[in-house]
Amino acid sequence: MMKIKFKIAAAVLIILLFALLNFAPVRGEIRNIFYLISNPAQKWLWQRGASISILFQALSDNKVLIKENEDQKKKIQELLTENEALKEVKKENESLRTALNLGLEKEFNLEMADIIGKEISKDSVVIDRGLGDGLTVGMPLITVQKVLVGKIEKVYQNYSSIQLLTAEESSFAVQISGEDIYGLAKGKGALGLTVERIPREKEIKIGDQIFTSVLAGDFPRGLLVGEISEIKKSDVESFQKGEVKVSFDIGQLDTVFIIKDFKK
Amino acid sequence: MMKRILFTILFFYFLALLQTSFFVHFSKFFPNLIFLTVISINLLESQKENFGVFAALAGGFFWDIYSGYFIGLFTLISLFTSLFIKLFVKNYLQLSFNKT
Repeated sequence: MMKIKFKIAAAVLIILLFALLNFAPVRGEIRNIFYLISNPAQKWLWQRGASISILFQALSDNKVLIKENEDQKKKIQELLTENEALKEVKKENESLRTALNLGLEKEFNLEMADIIGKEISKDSVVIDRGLGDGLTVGMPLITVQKVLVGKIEKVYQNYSSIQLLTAEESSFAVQISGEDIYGLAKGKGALGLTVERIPREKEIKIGDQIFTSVLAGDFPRGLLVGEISEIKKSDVESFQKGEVKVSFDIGQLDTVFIIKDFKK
Repeated sequence: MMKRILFTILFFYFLALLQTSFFVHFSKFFPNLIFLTVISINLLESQKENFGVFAALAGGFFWDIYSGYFIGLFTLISLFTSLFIKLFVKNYLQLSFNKT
């Protein structure tokens, strides 16, 4: 009898404890404390994991690498030709940039942050900047190459949780290859992304690059999202869709930039 | 007993740390180690012992802390898994490594 009473009391205590832990201010504080304690170890482990994974990846992707190598050689030939033409454009672009002072830091008010961990079972990462650095929920994140990574989902005092653009809850308007083709990018989870709602009559190709459009709402326009890797077109549907290979590699990503001055 | 409890708490804390930082880069090869450990402990311990339930609570708690969901979700999942193994698997399945 006593044993049963003890078990019931323990169960009630556990339920009460979890109810208290989920009380909004306490929940944020609890996670913040754990992230604060584990920050150095987590950062170190993340960096070690990243460097070791390169070796693993090279071993497991050997066949893919050989094929990729052949494709790359062909591409290099094409690119060398293109490069000559682009050099001229680059010169012109550089002089224009200098003249207009259009660096990334001029375009946006940025805050640099390091990725210190990934949340289990979600397309979400943790960065070492939080409320104390002026971050708020919804701020977009980019890489130094101006590639969209995601947006801030939750902010703690010293840390923030980032919803990657591949998360299942993520959807935003995109534009394809700077042309007049618009679609809706939707996260699939597990680092997958699709672009839907592309009118069937519009011509899209594998390799077409995708950028955030002016209709994106949550993100500034013109940020690189990825490139189309597969097209799904059906005669009976009025829209076509495509699989997207995102332009950032989460395994190799250490540093990101938060756009602090973006207003929807 | 106290040593065992402390060791289990620290073990799951470090496992959660590894799972969220180091093993992220090897997610193709490694499943969720916390959940796997909870299942293993419950399967391997004898029917009379209840330590697996505590392991499920500790593992679930750290899984919750480093996940984006509300605190308690994964604790409940691992707790129910532990109870399921204890009440069902061990009573109705003959496991060669655990006959006591």
